[in-house]
Amino acid sequence: MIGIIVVTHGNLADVLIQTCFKIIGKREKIESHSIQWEDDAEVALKTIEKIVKKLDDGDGVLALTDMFGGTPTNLMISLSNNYNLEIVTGVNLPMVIKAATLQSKEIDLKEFASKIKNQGQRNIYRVAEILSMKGKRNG
Amino acid sequence: MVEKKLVLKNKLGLHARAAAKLVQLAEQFKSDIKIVKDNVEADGKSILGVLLLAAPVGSELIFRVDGEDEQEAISAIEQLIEDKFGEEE
Repeated sequence: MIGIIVVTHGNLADVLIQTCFKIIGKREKIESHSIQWEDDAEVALKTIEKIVKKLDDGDGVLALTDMFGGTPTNLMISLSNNYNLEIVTGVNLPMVIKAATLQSKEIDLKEFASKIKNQGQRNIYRVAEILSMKGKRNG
Repeated sequence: MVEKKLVLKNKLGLHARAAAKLVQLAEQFKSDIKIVKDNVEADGKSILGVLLLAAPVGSELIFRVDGEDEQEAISAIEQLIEDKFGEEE
């Protein structure tokens, strides 16, 4: 089964995982690492590498990071040559929920990463557009 | 195929945790489960799809269940909604 690691600045990663588990229940093989502002990048990298090693059972690991170009993403990129790793940036709650619910399905890591990217993008709505669409359909 | 209209009775309607419970229940059945509200159809086995229905308390949801265990599935779903998703008032 594909492992999932969420890596962000601040406490975002930990809280995203906790929130996801609160909604859909606790899942296995999903971990987070929040990089605090005062943390040393080398130390953070070692911690993340340990988690990736633990999560990879041969099916690979999907890393969800906060922003392209930020330290969490850059650290994951530096690991990507040595591990079977896919990275998707711009993590949001629908992506984490989708990843957690799709994780146990038989799916290839590349396809999984691409699905989660699409889900993340598709689940951003301008609420007024949705409500007006529903209103029109009603009428 | 069975079709049944059910009304949400819990105070918060189909919010995230309620939707998760509904989807987890739906996933236990082989039948295809669709939920329709205001002509928008959602896959009953997808939490993000179900949330898009944006269904508050009092909403009428039409469940379309199709498959070998459709009767068991619709009964279980009705029970969950009647039980207000196990939420306290």
